[in-house]
Amino acid sequence: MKEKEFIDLIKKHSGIIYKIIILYTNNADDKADLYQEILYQSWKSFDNFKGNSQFSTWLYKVAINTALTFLRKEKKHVQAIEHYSDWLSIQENEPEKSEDLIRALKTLEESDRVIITLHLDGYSNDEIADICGITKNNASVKLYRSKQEIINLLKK
Amino acid sequence: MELEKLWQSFTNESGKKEMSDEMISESIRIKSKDTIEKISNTLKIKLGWGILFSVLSLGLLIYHINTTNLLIIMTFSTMYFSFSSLYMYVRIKKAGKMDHGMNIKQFIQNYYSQVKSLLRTEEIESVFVIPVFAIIGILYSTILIHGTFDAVLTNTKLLLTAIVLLITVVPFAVLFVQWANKKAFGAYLEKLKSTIDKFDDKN
Repeated sequence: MKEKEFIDLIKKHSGIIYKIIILYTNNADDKADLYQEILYQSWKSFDNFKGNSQFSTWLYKVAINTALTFLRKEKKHVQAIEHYSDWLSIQENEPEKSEDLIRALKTLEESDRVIITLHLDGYSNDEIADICGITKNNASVKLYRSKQEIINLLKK
Repeated sequence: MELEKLWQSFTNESGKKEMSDEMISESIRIKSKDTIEKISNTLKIKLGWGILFSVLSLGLLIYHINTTNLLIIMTFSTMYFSFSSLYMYVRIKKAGKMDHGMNIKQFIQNYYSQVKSLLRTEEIESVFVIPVFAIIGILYSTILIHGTFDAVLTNTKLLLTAIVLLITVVPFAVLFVQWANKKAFGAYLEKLKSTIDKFDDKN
């Protein structure tokens, strides 16, 4: 019953997981590993989700925490399991401009990437400050600077 | 094209393909590659050995002690392995609690401290365990040659060798474990620290 509820919620918010994976990994093996780890960590912590915040916000935090603490592979190569390697390879079909945006976002520091991702997904500066554990002023400064960097990169 | 529109296009693309129930069910049953879990698992193996040796030492202490010297050694061994196991158990248990309810910066700070603490536990354990096992190995093999434990204890040359070995093995054990941990986790820890600092950086 609990697993079914979890699966339904994850399916509804799978876009969040996908976006974090694309923005925080650079190769197929890391994508597959991070995907599994985010789902595993979300499931493990699901009992602690009390509904005080929206599920999407909670999932965002788990996914970002996992991505930021994820130990990337160096040379090992593991085959992504076939039926989700497909899901992870969606990036290849994306419009060229989206790919430019992803490339530009990846040039930012990981902490700045977190802030701009939350902003673009509609979170207010207050919420971003609260989720990240920084002051509102710091969030605004970082956001402004990151946006300028991205816009300049996209113009090139 | 505006940044927001580009993001919307990326969001729309990412929402097009749905995850299957099978994909999700399978992933929640994987063996985690999380760093804390990995280090904890290594320590759990050592904890298992610690418990095994505690039980063996206790068994020998209760049923097979027939000399005073051996009684002293076995009492110390039992205490050593028991305290060492308890220490590891407490550290592993403490590290197992990661709260995603915290804000992101707190989580990373906590995570960083946990990884460092577990690596430190591993270093402390290895510093004691490696020399102790080296000495036990020497004593056991010489008991097999000399016949009794008391005969080994009266052999001054052998005891001196064991003490010299203990003194020289400890610094090597420290350096080796520190080197191995730095090689495996040094760059990773630096990256975590840098991520924490970057959250506070206003420049």
